[in-house]
Amino acid sequence: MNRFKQTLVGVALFGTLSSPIWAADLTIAVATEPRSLHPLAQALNSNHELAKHVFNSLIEPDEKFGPTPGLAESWSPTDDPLIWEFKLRKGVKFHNDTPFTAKDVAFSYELVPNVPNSPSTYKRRTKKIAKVVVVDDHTVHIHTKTPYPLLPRSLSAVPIVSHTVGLETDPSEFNNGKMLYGTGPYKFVEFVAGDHITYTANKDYWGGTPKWDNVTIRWITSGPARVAALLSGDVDMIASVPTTDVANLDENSDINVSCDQTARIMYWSLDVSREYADHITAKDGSKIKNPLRDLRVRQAFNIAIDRDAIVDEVMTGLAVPANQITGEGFGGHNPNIPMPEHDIGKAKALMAEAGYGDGFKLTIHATNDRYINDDKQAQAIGQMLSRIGVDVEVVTQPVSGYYGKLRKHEMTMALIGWAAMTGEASSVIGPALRKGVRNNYGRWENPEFNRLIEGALGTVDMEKYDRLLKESVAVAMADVPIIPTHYQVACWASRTGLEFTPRADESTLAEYVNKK
Amino acid sequence: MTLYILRRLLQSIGVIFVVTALVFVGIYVIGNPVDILVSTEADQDQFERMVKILGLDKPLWEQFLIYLSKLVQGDLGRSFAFSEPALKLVLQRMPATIELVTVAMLMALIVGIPLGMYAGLHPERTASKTIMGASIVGVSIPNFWQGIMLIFVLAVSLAWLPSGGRGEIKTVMGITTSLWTADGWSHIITPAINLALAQCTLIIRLIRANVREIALLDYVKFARAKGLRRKRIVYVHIFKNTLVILITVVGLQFGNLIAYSVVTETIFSWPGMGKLIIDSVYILDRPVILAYLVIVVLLFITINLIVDLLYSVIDPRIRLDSDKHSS
Repeated sequence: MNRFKQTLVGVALFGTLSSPIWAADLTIAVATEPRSLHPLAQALNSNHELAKHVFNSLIEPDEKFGPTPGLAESWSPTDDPLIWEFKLRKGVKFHNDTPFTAKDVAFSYELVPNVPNSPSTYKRRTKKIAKVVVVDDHTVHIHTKTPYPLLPRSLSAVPIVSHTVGLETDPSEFNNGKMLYGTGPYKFVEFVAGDHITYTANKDYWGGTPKWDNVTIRWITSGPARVAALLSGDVDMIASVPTTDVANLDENSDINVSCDQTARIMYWSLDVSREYADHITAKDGSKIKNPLRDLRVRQAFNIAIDRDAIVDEVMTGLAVPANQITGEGFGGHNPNIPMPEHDIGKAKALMAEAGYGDGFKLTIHATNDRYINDDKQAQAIGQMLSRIGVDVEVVTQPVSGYYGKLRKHEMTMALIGWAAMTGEASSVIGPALRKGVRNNYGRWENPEFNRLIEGALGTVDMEKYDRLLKESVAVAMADVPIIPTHYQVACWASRTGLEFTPRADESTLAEYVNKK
Repeated sequence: MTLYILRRLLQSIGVIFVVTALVFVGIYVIGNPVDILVSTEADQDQFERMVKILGLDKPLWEQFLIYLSKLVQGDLGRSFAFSEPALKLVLQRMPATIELVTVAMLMALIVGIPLGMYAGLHPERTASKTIMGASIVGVSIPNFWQGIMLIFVLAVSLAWLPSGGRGEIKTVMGITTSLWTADGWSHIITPAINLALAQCTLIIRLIRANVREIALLDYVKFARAKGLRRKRIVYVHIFKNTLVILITVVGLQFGNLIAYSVVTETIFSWPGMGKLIIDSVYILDRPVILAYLVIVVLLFITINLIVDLLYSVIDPRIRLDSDKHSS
């Protein structure tokens, strides 16, 4: 099938491309439909990227999640480490002409855990907030329960809505557009479920006149259809370019492709706690003690995996090899952690040293519809581990039910994808490796790590936070509780004349599309 | 007559009950919808809160009973994912699907009937053999591939028609559809062809076989012997008698297309029910799956009812009220 798609695109390259007349109108096709237009209903990227057109946050994340001024012009912890002061921008108006003040900030953070009929998943970003104190119209004091260095990063993901919305308003009032007024660059015009949403420029935008007069975002689920829509000129830009089409589109002189590393890390979780693992037996099928509890076996796995091969062969070059939680340029990246060197001989020696020279039988699990090439990754890992004597059976399944099984610890070695929601390492290792947390699927425990990560997340001294976080990453990676393989790369394609700045949070935003 | 319709309605209630029970058990076996709905960021608190909001903390039989008691009152529940009434979500997207299927079916009939008649009346001619040969193509090419090919030829290479989407919608005489606008028509043609091809093949083959069979029957021979004009024999004696089987099949296929136009809708990003149901199955959105199935069951029953009524109009020998015989 993939080869066929390539041929098709190849054929299409020779076809003439209709080039629309230059207008300040932009049509974008993205892959995933939103589940709600309510900006605070669910922390899903498909919802959030739409909300970002209409709403702002106090702090706006840049391409790599770095905090930059948004509705707040400045912020800093006060002398009391539990209180942060935010100075708000003056003269900002909501689309319905009401002024933006501190009241709206307090209201929004109160609404976050209380959105009616919703999972309210933004709650995690505000749960450290004890109370929001309105000092004056343009000053807010946010009290946290414990000293919290991630407050700016956490709040950068939470859109501010007008207090006139009211706490009881049902999310459907946002879907029909009634409550869809924010302070953002674009005003809502029309929403047709499953088809498109349109926006028009907010000429009074505090950040200057928006780049486009009219923006239409369409949902085209099927990858080849998205590519066809771009090639036929029906849309100006597409998100989530299918990996198989990236190379072909890149060669097309009418198309611009821009790819960049995202904050999504792919790793293998290992059951390092139980005495007997569910999916490991001796080669003859008899019960053996869980070999993954032995550091040497984990180290052997770590170097038996050829990351370059995964990136080049499985991911067709559209990934970046990973040796830790976040890549270069992201928070918590520790440059002192070495990239594990692929070495079968050394891996075999480690296995023999641990007493598993003859290997064992292992079943690994992966999704087959959630991450880019997830099933192929699992096959590749299976082959790589078989070279050090492990008989691997690969089981893949749809994501429905996958994470449920993981949480019940029914898998021994499983593929996991995780986007660092704050763009720094603690938002992954915090919930994934700390003692006793729900997403610590392998139940790894390490007191030194817990001390470091808790220290990092318990200070507002940003230098100390940074140092402790990097140390905690190093301590974790040295014990190989998980095996990171690569960071996912996301690609966008547009007609020439347009240039998109890729964002590590994978959001497709009209304001990031420039005319060249 | 009334009795007949009532009996049909009772049947459909039975079907809805069975379908609902199957979906409840099926989703229960696959996993907990909350695992997928709540993002990986969520902590245990949020997880449990969500389970409670959705009523998934109760035992399965209790959830089922609650659902049934609400169903009786016409409340099909709220979508887990969209937090909107499930019925509203499905009905919102139904017109797009019905519109697409109707156009596709009409295309198939307009092309299929004449070709099928021709091939049936003149089975030995080269043209007939060409029709039959070509019609195989319609069924043997996978729907998905066909759709992509259509897009690349009509939208990308020739740039005649748009590559997907529904186009401009207008409301005239209380009916909201894209068929009122030229833009709407330009959008519907490609996906409709994609859906129509297989149906067209079916109709051609069906009519041809039927015509050949009927042409040999006594009353046709008699009509010819009586010296009736050929036109009259073809249109009245032969064609009218193929209608019974044609209506049966078209009725069934119409229901099928509405329920299973998923592939076409996905490729052409047609905002119909098919796309919604696929997404809902993926995230185990039980209320939407159920609302969809209830609607589809009702649609099937209605279509079958219409087909049955049409029978008695076309063929007076077929009677609906079998009261005098056994029921």
